[in-house]
Amino acid sequence: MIPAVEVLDVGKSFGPFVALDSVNLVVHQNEFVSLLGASGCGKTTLLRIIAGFESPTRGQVKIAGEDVTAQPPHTRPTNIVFQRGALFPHMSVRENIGYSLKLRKWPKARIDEQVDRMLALVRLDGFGDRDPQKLSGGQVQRVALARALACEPRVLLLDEPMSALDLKLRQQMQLELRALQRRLGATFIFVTHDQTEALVMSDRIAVMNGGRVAQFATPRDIYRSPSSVFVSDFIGQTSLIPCEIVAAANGIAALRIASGAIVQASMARGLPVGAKAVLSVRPESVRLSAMTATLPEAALTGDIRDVIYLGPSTRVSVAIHPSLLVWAELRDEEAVGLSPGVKVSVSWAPEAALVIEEGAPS
Amino acid sequence: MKDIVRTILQAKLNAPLDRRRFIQGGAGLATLTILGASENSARAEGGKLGGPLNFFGYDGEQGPKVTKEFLEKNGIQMNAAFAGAADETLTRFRTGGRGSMDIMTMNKDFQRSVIDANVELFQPLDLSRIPNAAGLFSGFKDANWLVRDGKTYGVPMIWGDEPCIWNPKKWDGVPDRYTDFADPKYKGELVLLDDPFGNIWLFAKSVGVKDPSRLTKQDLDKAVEAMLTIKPNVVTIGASLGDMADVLVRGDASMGLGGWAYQTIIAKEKGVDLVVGSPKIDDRFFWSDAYTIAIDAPNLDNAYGFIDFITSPEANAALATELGSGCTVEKAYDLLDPSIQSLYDYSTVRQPGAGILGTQTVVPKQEAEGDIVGAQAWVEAWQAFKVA
Amino acid sequence: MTAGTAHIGMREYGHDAREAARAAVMLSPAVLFYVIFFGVPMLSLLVLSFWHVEGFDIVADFTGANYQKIASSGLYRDILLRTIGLGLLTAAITVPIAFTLSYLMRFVFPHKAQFILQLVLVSLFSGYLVRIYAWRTILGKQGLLNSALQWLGAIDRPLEYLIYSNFAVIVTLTGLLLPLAVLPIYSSMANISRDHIEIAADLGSRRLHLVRTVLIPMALPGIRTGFAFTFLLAAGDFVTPSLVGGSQSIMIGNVIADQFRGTGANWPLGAALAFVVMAAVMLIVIVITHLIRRVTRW
Repeated sequence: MIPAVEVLDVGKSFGPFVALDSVNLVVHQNEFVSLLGASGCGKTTLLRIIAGFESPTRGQVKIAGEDVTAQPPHTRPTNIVFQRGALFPHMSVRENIGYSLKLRKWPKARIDEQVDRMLALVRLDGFGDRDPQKLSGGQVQRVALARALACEPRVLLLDEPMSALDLKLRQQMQLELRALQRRLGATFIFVTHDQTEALVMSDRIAVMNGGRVAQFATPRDIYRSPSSVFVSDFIGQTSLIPCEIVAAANGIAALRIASGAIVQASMARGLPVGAKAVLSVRPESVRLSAMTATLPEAALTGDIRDVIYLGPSTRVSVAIHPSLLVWAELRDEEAVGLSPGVKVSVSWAPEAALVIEEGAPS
Repeated sequence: MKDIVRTILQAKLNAPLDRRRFIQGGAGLATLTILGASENSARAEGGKLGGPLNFFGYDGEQGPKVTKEFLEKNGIQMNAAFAGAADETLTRFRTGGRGSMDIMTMNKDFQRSVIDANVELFQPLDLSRIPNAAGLFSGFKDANWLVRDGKTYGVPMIWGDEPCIWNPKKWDGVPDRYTDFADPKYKGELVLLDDPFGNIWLFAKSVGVKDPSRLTKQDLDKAVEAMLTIKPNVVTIGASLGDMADVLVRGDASMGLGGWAYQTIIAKEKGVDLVVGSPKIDDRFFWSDAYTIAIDAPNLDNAYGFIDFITSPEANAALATELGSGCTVEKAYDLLDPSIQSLYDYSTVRQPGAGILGTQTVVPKQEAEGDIVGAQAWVEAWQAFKVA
Repeated sequence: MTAGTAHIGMREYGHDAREAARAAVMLSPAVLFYVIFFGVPMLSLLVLSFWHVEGFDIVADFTGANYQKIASSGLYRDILLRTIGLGLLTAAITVPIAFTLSYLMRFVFPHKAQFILQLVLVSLFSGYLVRIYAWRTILGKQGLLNSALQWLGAIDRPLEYLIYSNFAVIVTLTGLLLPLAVLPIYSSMANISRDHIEIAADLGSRRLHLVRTVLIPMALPGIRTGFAFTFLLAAGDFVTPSLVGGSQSIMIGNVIADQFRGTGANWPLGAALAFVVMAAVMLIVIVITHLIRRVTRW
């Protein structure tokens, strides 16, 4: 199947400033892809290049197999939704949605029909004659969405459309958007800096940093198998511990850490013995138990630094070495008796931790 | 501003209380702000010179350079405001100016019509307070616009004519009649002055009307018809004498009708040579301006002192030179530079009644009289001429 | 904001009688200013227009003679039509230029916008008459333009219609009024965000369609003001036509001015003319702004 969008070795510089540096991305039909990253990582620039508002300094963009690199926005089969909706204030909701259709000279009856369909799709039936300036934030975004979808574009581009909404509304919209995309069977490319948002909605996430794509994979793969220190640190919480590879077999490596202790983690890439690497272990995989005289010597021990109550869980930090902190996330009952200063043993299942090559491309 | 309000109130208090005055006063408030009144209304104390002096008349005739020393020496502050046309003096007088105006200047035709109509504006002069007036040319001493029933109402300071003015490099002279300017060789070369009365007067004369200041409707139409024949040759109509000079200096036109000798002086400053002269048969009209003192002038002493000073031979000569006009005092003539002397033919002013100055009237009467149309008709005819 | 309230400063008034009274007090200086400096002169002018003139005197009675004269005069009608035509033509040229300039400042050269705006406004600093005379220097027979064209060999003799013509009047008026048209239009456009334009373009609109369906409607308040300024000032200007308009240059403003100075003055007629012109001009502004809104209706 022809991919919906192909970004081939695209680079973009604004004068001396390099916004994008050799980006390669292939988005499949009917896929919901998020471009995730911090401000300045280039995600919005990439979206605008796909939309046609910027032209790449180098590289190609193809949509449904057709090279659109030289095409302006109005001829591309993409439509964009902005963060602030940008509804036309001098038109009613209905007229806003029908704008692209009237432009294409559709007959009035057909326009009305389509507009009604769109209103139903975004759950705003009956809002057709409203004044856009009198709508709430969520309603504005839904109308903007309807407007962009009215002419049934191949690809819908969304530039942080929910950043201006409050949390509850945002969460609700995330689910609605996802459901909408499935119902329509359309391709969505979504830009956000909120990792939870990306995780909730996407089929695949492209984590971006410094103008490049650090990793482009499913949410699960990104979370469980981050390809680099940056990605593992960016998504979710993790403890990063520098280490040195001592031995390796069957995908499990033995690692020596600064304190001298030897711990285990799974290793995706075959790194040589003696190589320097970084161990990444997520807090929910770390188990703590208070040291008592009766327990055998544990491989890793430390003193509790902080105990933070989060409601559904409690987060505990343990100093296993003057410069090394490991975070553990525990349920209420597991955190009983743990308070700062208590000596604990720290452990995790080898498969739950990951060895990442130090300086791996981010 | 406070003074203006006080002026209005004082004027109202002193005027007979009738509805017309009251309403006129109200309209006058707006008018005065438009005219930018800057007079000081305090009444002069005592009989010495010193304090304010109010002037309302043509710009230049208050002789700022000529009178500078005199004013300083006597501690007089000159408050001058300027009129574009003579009847603005009457307008201002009637709309609150009365009681705050001292010296007014105006042209002879307007002055004559005011005297004829018995309208209150200027007061008879006490000539014993203007000894220098004895030095005026004889023609001015019994001129019919200055003297009536043994009383003198004005002291003239300059006079002149309104000749044609042209660029000698392009033209050797002017044709004999104004109507000759319709000749196609003048196409794109003529400039007129935006003056309804002067222009219509000249062309009425040119088509043969005996007294061009008294026209019937047919006479007026004939004059306008004659003007229309030269219109295709007219480049533009100057908004003022200065503007007309500017057009000639720039070379946008090379022949001006109804100009002023002073324009040659303006042109010379800009490095352009212009000469004046008039059509042999039609000739031209003359004008003269005089100082008058308004009725109820608050600073009478200063007014008399000023007029006497500026009528001295030296001051009169200096003023005439500055304004490029004829002087009115005999001894002043000898003090003039030959180039200024030659601008005008002084034989006129040595005649009784000032010769043609006295007999010639340019401006029509305000009101129509039987067959003779009034000033309004002339204004409309001129507007129609412009729109054609 | 509920109906029947006034919004002054940061607070809303009108919820009760006491607040309404306070609002009235606060608005009173502005109202008083208008009454004194606008209302009273207008009213006295209106009263004046019903009087008539005898010789040098203005007679205060009530007569519609002035209005009758205006209605029956072919001369005044012709001049008025001419004046309005000139005003409309000037506005029709100036407003699109101002609109284009504003667009360039807002969306094409936003970094240079301040600088361009200052350039545009600088011309307002020099005197009004000075600027008109400057056009004489540029357009005159021996002026800059003619000299340049002759030097380039494009023409043999100077072009005469450049100055003292309707062309000169329109060029001069456009130059004089452009800053006044740019200001409201630009500030109106400053409220249009780039997002709107990008979205419209993205949805398929381009150039003229975008201008007509998005730009103009969103900048409409500014355009209306710009048109009103330009038309009113152009139609009311009688100095420019008299200085650069040539021998046919009479406008209704000249006619009115003639009634207020010089022998043959007729103040009541002048006042009546002023009101007739005001009514005509207001009518046109209302009609045209309605039309603009009509044409750009979506």
